[in-house]
This record gives sequence, C-alpha cells and structure tokens, in this order.
Amino acid sequence: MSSSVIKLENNSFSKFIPLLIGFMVFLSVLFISVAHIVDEIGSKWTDGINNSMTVQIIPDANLDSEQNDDIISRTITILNQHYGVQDVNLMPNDKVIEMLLPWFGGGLRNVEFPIPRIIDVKLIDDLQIDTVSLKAQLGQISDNIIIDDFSDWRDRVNSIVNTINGLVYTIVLLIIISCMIISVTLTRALMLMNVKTLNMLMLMGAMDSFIAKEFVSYALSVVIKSSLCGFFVALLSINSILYFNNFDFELHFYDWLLIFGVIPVVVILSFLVSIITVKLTLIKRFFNIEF
Amino acid sequence: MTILEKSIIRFHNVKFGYGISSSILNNVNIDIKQGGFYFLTGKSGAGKTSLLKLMYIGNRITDGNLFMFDKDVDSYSRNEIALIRQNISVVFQDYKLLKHLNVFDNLALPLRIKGDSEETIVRKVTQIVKWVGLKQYIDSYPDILSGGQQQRLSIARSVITNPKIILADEPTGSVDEVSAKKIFSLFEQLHKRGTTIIMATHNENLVKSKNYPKLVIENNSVFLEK
Repeated sequence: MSSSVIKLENNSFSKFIPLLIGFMVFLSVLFISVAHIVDEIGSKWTDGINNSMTVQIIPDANLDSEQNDDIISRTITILNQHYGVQDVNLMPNDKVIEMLLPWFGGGLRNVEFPIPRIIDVKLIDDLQIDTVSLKAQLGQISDNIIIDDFSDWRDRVNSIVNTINGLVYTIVLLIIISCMIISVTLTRALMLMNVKTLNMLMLMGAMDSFIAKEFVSYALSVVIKSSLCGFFVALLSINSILYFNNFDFELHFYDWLLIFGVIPVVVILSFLVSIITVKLTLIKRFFNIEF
Repeated sequence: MTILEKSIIRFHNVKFGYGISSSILNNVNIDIKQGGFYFLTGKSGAGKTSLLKLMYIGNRITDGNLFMFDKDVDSYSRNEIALIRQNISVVFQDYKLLKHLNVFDNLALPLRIKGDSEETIVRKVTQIVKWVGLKQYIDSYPDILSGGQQQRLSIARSVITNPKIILADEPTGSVDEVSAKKIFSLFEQLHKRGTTIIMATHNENLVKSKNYPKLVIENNSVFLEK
C-alpha cells in the first residue's frame, strides 16, 4: 500500500500504534456484532407474540355454568367480527390447567378452582387492532374479561434492545473517534521522528502534496494493515463464541455490510485526519525550516 | 544586460529577527548577480546562517522586501516558493545527509521531488557519483563515509538538479585541508557552468586567495566588498 520514496523512520512508539488500532477495530466489530445478536434475540422474543393476543375470561362465581358459557360464546362472536382478527380459538381447559401447573402445583387438577378460560386470538399480519373499542365491546358483556395484547412486554423488550443498541453504537462511535485521535498522533509522531527529512523535503522544494502523500500513505498503510488484523481476529472470535456456545444466530447480508463497513470508515476518516494533520504542520513549518 | 548584471536575489531595506525586539539583520540592501561567486563572511553569530536562510526562504523577513528571480517573495504562492526552492540548493557544514537513506537514495531525493522518472534518476545519479568520486559507495550509508566524502555527497545532492543558486554554509569547515581544496574546486566548476554561488566561510586564507566579491556581515548590517 505504502508507495513511500523517502523511507520514513519509525520507533517503538509508532510500532505500538498498529496494535492499538487493531484492538480498536477488534472492539468495534465485536460491539457491532453484539448489537446484532441483541437485535436478533429481541426479534425472536417478540416474533412469538407478534400478531397475537389473548383474551382471558374469569368465571363469575355468581353465575351458573350456562351463563358463563354464554359469556364465552358472545366474546368469541365479538372477536370474530372485530376488524383485524384472523382466527379465534378457545383454549381447552386441560391446556389452561397445564399452563398454570408450574405456578399452582399438581393439586390444581383436584381442587375446585375457578379456572379462567383463555381465548387465543390470531391477528392479521401488520394490521393495528383497535384494542380500545374491543375492550369497550367486551366490557359490555362482563367485567371479568381481560385483553392482553403483549404490548407492554413488547415495549419493554424493544426498549431494552434499543438501549443496548444505542449504548453499543455510542461505544463504536467513541472507538472510531479514538482511531482518529490515534491516526493524528501517529501522523504527528511520524513527522516529529522524521523532522530532519521533513525539513530537507521542504528545503528541496517538495510541494505540500508530495510531502502529504509520503506521510499519509505511510500512516494509512499502518491503519489498513492493523485494521484488517483487528477485523479478522474479531470475526474469528465471534464465530468461535457462536460455534462453541451453540448459539443459533445468523448474521445477514446487511449485518455483514455494517461489520465490514468498520474498515472503510476507519481508513477514510484516518486518511482525512492524517492529511489535515500534515497540512496544518506544513503551514506552521513552511517558513520555519530549522535544522 | 550580461548575465552578471542581472539580479537574482535582491534585498531591499530588509530586517530580520526571531522575536519582536530581536534584530539579527538590519537594513540589508544587497544585490546578488546571476552567475556570480560570493563569499559571505562575518564573525560567529553575526548572522551568516540567518542571511542564507532568508535566501532559501527558510524564514520570512521581518520588514522590507526580498526579491528572488525578479519578483517579491511575498507575492509568490506556496507552490511557487516550493518551485523556487527547487532552484536553490544548500550545502551545510554538517552535510545534513539523511542517515537512513543510502548514497543512491540521498542523491535521488531531489530528483524524486522534481518528479523525474526512475530511469532519469538512475542516469543522473550514476553520472554525479562519478563526478564526486563516490561511485563505489552508491549502496553505502552516509555513516561509513569520511567527512570529506560526506561533504562531496552533500554537494552532489545539491547540484544534481542543476540549481540556479547554491548556498554553502561553511562547506569546508568540517574537513581537512586536502578535502577542502577538492570541495572548493567542485564549487568553482559549478560556478564556471553559470551557477550562482554564495559561500559562507571563516577561512580568511581562502577568501584572500580568490578574487571573488565578499558579502560582509558586521553590526547587523551587510555590505559588499569587491
């Protein structure tokens, strides 16, 4: 990559910088991957409850079983007629008991207990159901009908996922800013280490563009090499973690694009800050050639 | 107008100092003619190096006007100044060779800056190392060369681009008598080819033995002695 014709000198400090950049890119890739994994977990959690809701009817102890059954059938009728509802299924009592067993224990089958009836409602995809009017309609039948559209749960999951994502991308942004600062430091260090060469270049009439090309191409070659190393180590780590922990996650094309995007972002920004650093230094030194 | 009547560097009421109150050179009015050979003399610390530095535009003057190649330096753009610097070469007492580059790369550097092709660079470097007698050291690094050889390398580097002006700051100051004579003869050869040479020196015998005009720095002022 480096097409330097002046063979810039470096020291242990500038040799340490590639490690730092590599580590920063490693962290960025790792964090972006974490963001996607969290996204996926969130999606998996919410996918199971999307486009569905449950209606719970608590049997009224003051009514006989016929009256309670009537409430159930009227509820089913209203649900079937409601806009956005695709399918309505009354859950068998046994299944409801099964669901409650973990909380109430095996004795539940033998005791007289007002087991609630649960209606599983499937909604038409991507259609927003008017739960307020539905609640009002069902409220006219009985006060013991509860609608649970999982919105609280979904909101909470989404909020957690968004918070984690926000945090992760803030960290990635900070890491990229750190990479910029490191690139500036690297360029400045290179110019300081090669101040004699720099002065000689200016004395011999090198144009700013020539000097900038020499220093920036060197700095950039360091950034590219170390970014690639950090990137591949990160990929290896992610795949190892997913493989050895049997995580069933898949990164999609868009995710890979974002992860691969770390390198060009770091390289382009490093290029820009390096060139600005060189130009600013040259402005200061152009009429101040000191040996 | 003959070549020697044409001005190549002209100082007009030039003042120079490193701080607001410091004044190293005051009211300098000198005219360097194209193709001339000038000695620059003065006591240590008188301002010889500072004057040379102004001539290669390594510092800006504090006041007055400095004309180079018929134009006020202040009116040149940065790129134009870079091009002017390509026409001025400087030879230092301590050579200022780049120790991490070998003889070839040290000599190739000014040509690379000018944008010459690698083929031209190889041809010119090969020619010039023969001229200064360093052909066998072309792959060596400056550290293994003697003082005289390093100075010859430094001169070779300064003339390889065929500059119009050579500024030499005590070029024979760090070498023995024999090497000094060889080095001085190189400057005289370049002068005969039409290069303007300004040589700062403490060597009174050398100055007296040659019939070249003398720029003398005294009490922050510069005057020409013919």
